[in-house]
Amino acid sequence: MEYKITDHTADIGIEVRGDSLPDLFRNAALALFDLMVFTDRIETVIEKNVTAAAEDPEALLVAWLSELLYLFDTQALLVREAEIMTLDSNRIEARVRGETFDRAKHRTKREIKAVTYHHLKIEKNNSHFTARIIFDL
Amino acid sequence: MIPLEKIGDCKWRIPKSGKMRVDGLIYASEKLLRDLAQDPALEQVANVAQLPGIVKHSIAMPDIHWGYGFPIGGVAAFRPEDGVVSPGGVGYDINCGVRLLRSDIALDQARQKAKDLVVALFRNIPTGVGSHRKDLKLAVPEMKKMAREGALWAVSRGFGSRQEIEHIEEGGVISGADPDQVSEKAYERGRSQLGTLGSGNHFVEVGFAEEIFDEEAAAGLGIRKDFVTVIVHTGSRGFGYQICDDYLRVMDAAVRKYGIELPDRQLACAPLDSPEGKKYLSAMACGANFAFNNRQLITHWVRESFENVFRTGPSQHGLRTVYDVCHNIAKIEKHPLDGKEVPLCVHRKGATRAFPPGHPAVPESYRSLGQPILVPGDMGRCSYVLVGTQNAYQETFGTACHGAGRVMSRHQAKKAARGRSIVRELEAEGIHIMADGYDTIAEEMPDAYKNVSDVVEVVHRAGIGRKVARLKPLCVIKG
Repeated sequence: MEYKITDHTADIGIEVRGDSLPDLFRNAALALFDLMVFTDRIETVIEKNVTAAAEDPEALLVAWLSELLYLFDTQALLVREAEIMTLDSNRIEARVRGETFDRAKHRTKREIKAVTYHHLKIEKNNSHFTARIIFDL
Repeated sequence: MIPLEKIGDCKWRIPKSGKMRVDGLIYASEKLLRDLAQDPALEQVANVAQLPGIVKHSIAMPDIHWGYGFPIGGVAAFRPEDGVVSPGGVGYDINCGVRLLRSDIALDQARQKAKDLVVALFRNIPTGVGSHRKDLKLAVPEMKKMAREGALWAVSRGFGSRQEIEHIEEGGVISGADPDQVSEKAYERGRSQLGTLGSGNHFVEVGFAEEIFDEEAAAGLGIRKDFVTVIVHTGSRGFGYQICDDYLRVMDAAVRKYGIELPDRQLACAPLDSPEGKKYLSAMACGANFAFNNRQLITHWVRESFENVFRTGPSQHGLRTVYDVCHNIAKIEKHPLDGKEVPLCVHRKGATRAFPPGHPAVPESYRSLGQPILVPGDMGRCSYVLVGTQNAYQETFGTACHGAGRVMSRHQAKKAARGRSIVRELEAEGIHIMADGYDTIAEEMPDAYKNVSDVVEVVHRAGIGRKVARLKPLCVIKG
């Protein structure tokens, strides 16, 4: 998984990387679910289109992850794969694949309450992108 | 480095500088301050002091730690005419709070049944990621009714009694709730989550009063030494998180619209006297009312669990709500300012209201004692009950601390727990734990928190709360 956990006193932060901006958004989504459950037992039996919009890339990253949290809370959707169809600075369209959460099958780790804007940053280095995101637990 | 001046026993000042409009005021011992040295929380206190319309001080309680925008353990009050309201000053978990129950069950009796009790609680109360009661999913119109009525909604459906809601902050209903200011998304997220505990630091803890510091106050609250108590710590679940999320976006735009200068995007806010500010307060009230109902339902299932395990009825166990307080809230309250009582919008983020004896908002039965303050510690050590003071009313907008506050990050805690069984360590001390999430117990282990006794000692010494009793855990369920 292309992310590592960073230190935050009360909550949890991650640093995620990607070879491109779509790759970064994809990895951030997979990291989100990896923080919540053991993802190895999620099968890809459901497919869903997800869109999100915001005024800049950072806010879009929050909106995208928040939309996935919303899908988990309302439809119990656990995501294993995310295919980014289109991505510009204020809109994302993606196709995600996964499975309905089953307490007997998917061991949980922790609940994520929300994706925060705190110290949120997307950076482009020579060959890749990184983002720092703090989740509220 | 944030400059600090000592101004009294356990009191420190961050002098106004740069864009700060008021001083920062920190309640801490030297020991607690040392833990804070590496934490950005003090800088956040100074950031909050920059917000328009803030009065007196930007305050930090002794359990302060790094939040997003506002610190956790932060208190700030704003004038209605030129001040702001900020969802970041309340937090995602609107009205995350604590309820304390007292009982007539003796410690010896409870010790024998502690294992059965933890299992019964874990079974009856939905706990952890994606967990909910199959018998409770509300339609949106019912959700709106619940959001408007507050805890009365649960009580009129047989979950608890009317007398009970007098022992909830604001009588279990934050006024001004307007369900039409809450998004469809929030209703969708919240409708299957009413009556669920959640995860992270949320818990239900059965304990007992280990030490009484103030006999008269303890007797007035119904707390007896070596008798069982229960603490319920949870909030507004996905309903509140979504309301916060929605309004952070509204506020982001409002900041630009009203030309508010901010040191941190997460401090996004709107003037109290603006459509955005008013809408947020009415939506926030809905979130807060959801949380009151959530704790009311869980209280009902706590009672059912006790009735199953001890094979008794309500008249024998005597489980009654001592009090229920909000930890994350913004409210319009009247406070003394420049010799007059004026309405202010008080933000408490990870802080507890602590009104003094005689205040009309304190339930009649406790009026001579002051409002109960409930301060849970970590799952291994202890929790405290205090009462509010006149001093808190004068200095902190009637506010005291809310908990121990973390000292280790979750990542550090997991590392520190490697190779140990926290469950077995606690069991050796007579504390039974059940948790849903794989990482929860390690991340929430006692060592990850400050010692709540250090925090409470500061509150007591600074006179913003008065110690009544110390509670010791027997069994805990976590998400």
